[in-house]
Amino acid sequence: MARIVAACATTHSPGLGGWIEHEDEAKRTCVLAGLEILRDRLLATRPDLIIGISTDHMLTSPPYNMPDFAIGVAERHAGPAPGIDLWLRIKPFAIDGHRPLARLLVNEAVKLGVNFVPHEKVDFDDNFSVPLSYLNPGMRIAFIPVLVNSFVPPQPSPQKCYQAALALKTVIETKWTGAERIAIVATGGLSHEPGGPRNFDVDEAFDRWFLQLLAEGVAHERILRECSLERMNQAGEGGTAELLAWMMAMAFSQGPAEILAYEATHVWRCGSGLVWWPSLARVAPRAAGAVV
Amino acid sequence: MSIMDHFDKTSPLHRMVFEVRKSWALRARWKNDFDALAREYGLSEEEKRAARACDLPGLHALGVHPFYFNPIIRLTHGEDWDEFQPITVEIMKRSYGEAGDPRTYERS
Repeated sequence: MARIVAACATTHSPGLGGWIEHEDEAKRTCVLAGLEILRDRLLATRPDLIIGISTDHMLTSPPYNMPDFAIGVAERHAGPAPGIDLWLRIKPFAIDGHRPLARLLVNEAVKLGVNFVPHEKVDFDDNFSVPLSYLNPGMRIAFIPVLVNSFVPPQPSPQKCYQAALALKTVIETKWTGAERIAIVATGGLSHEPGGPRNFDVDEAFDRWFLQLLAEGVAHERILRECSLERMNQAGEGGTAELLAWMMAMAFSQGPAEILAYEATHVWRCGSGLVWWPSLARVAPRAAGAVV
Repeated sequence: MSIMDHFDKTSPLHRMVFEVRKSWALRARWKNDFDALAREYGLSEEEKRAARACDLPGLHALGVHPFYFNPIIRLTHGEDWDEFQPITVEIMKRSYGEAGDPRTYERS
């Protein structure tokens, strides 16, 4: 039986690729140290597969046809997309997917009432290229990209995202017969407002408030309620809601998260945070049945 | 300013930016053959002007999603930091005043 062996979340700031050297040295050092810790912990769990959860920056699906959730079902993925590689200064790479499991996730989630649109091709930008370049040396660990609509109104609520993640967890634990060790890596956030009046701002107070909720192990229901779309938009519209991906990772965890790093990295144009959940959620009963 | 103020999902600029970002050939045309490309995507004169000038308030009023503002700036001026950063600062300051100036947020 497949096992979830890790749950974590990290920023995917494009600045960590394309303009890393322009950020304040102390902030840069702190975030890079956090990424090193995260990479070491992730690799220590010996994952066969990473399921990455992140936002679609309107690159895979357009703003006029954006699904709430999507999954890349290809046997092999490639990134970054043309031109995006110049922006991120990340050399084009390829990485194995996991088509059988990705397809099962799409099809079994339907039976649990959740629609994940299958994509034969997911266009990677900073969402996956940046974290993978730090956390998956040599791109040796296979990867399934999961996309959530953080940008295009009406976005799914935090509660809906959490339930969608629970559906993924249930399918993995009750329907998949493989023996993979699976790591969940959410990417995005924290506060930022790309393109808006606060393009260069970071809401550090919001970021620290959100991270504190995770660090205190506050009940998930409360986090989902208090960190609403409205609250996230107040902290930076059109960017902060990338934390929906973190809330999906939360569904695989229990108890407090450990904050590995946080800095208000204005030059990178977002708050940069990383967390690791030491305790994982209990395994779902091995029986069919709706969880959502 | 909120995304929801004017957001127009049917704006032809959304399809244009979405497709141009992913194609080397269309990226080259955005830089060198913009008017013809814009005509093919059915942009109005006002949409053409706002996109060409990176007029963010204008694009916002025309219903373009603000997330596409930075990609529009980079398609026009270049993807490298040295190409896009100085002009982005200038455009943000012009568009949003003090709020758009990164110096407003400089802290010790």
